[in-house]
Amino acid sequence: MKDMCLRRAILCALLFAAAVAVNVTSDASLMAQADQHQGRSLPMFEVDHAWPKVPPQWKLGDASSIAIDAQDHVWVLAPATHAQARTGLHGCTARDCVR
Amino acid sequence: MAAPPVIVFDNAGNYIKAWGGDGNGYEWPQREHGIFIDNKGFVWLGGNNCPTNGLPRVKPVADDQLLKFTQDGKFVMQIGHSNQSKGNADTQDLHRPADEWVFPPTNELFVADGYGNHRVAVFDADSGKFKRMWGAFANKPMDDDHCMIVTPASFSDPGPQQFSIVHAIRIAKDGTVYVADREYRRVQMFTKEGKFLKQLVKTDIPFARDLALSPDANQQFLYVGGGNSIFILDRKTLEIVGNVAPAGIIGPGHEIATDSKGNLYIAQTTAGLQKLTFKGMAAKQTK
Repeated sequence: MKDMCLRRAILCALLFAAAVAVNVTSDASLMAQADQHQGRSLPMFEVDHAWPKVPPQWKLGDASSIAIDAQDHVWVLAPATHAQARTGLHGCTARDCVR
Repeated sequence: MAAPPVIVFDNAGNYIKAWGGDGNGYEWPQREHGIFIDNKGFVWLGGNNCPTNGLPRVKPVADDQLLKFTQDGKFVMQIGHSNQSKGNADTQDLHRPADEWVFPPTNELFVADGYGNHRVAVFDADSGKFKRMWGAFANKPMDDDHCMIVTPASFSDPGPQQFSIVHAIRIAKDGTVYVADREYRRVQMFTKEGKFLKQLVKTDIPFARDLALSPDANQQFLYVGGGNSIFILDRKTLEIVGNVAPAGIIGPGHEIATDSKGNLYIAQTTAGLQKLTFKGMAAKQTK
């Protein structure tokens, strides 16, 4: 039994290492892709953790869609029923598991 | 308390207003999907409900309509009617439309139609009169209606001759139309008349979740949600030139949008909303 646990742990470690390796490779290939277009400037972004400020009395629904108007105001379509409806549909609440 | 389905924030994240829901003279969709604000300031929205999904507190009807409102939520016009679609040949109704966009020079509304149909449908944005339609590769769109999302077991390039879910649509200032064919992991590019130009298929990961154009004068980039981030494409060549993946990104988005400053906004359904602040241009991307 102990042996099996150990084996499982090794397997897990190997799988994790493989996953990391795959990640590194895909990152590297992305960078390589960017390098091919060297000289071309690309847009840079940073997450704004303070956005948005939802009024405390309201629970935002599932944000299905988003649009911007001429004043750069951000219009969100967030049906309140989606969260419960989607959970009911697939019994699944993971991110975007039912789209 | 559940917020109304339409909620507006400023770019600093402050709440401005909210509205939406059933009312007189129109059929509000059962599962809201796809919002757009046109150049005259009108608000367009649709829905993707299907009658057999058995969702609680949802009427068993197909959202086959698109609604137009003022920014204060006053009803202006409806294209199509709830649960009336006769399929892709129907020029009066939509079928679970996913997204829409108005091209100001021709005053035409382009609809990504959608979950039930498999076409781009074009209407006059004032009268709502049908003008033209096309399917993948500019083929005639064919009926293949499913309530549940059908994702193939394997993916190919160029892929099937019909669209899967036509999930997002954007039109550049020069009239080039970009369509996200989500379940087939490809972006197709057309003239505004509906001539097929080219496509990009990315078979290895979920791709073409959503679309947005960069706001620079030439709109040189097309943002395309895929995998766990957002890819940067040269919008003329459809080559992938980079990736938007800042620390803490919420995901590839369900739908995304850009503002005039170049900021990106992500709607990620159950995971919520996120703003990615544009930090300028760099010759080489850092993560």
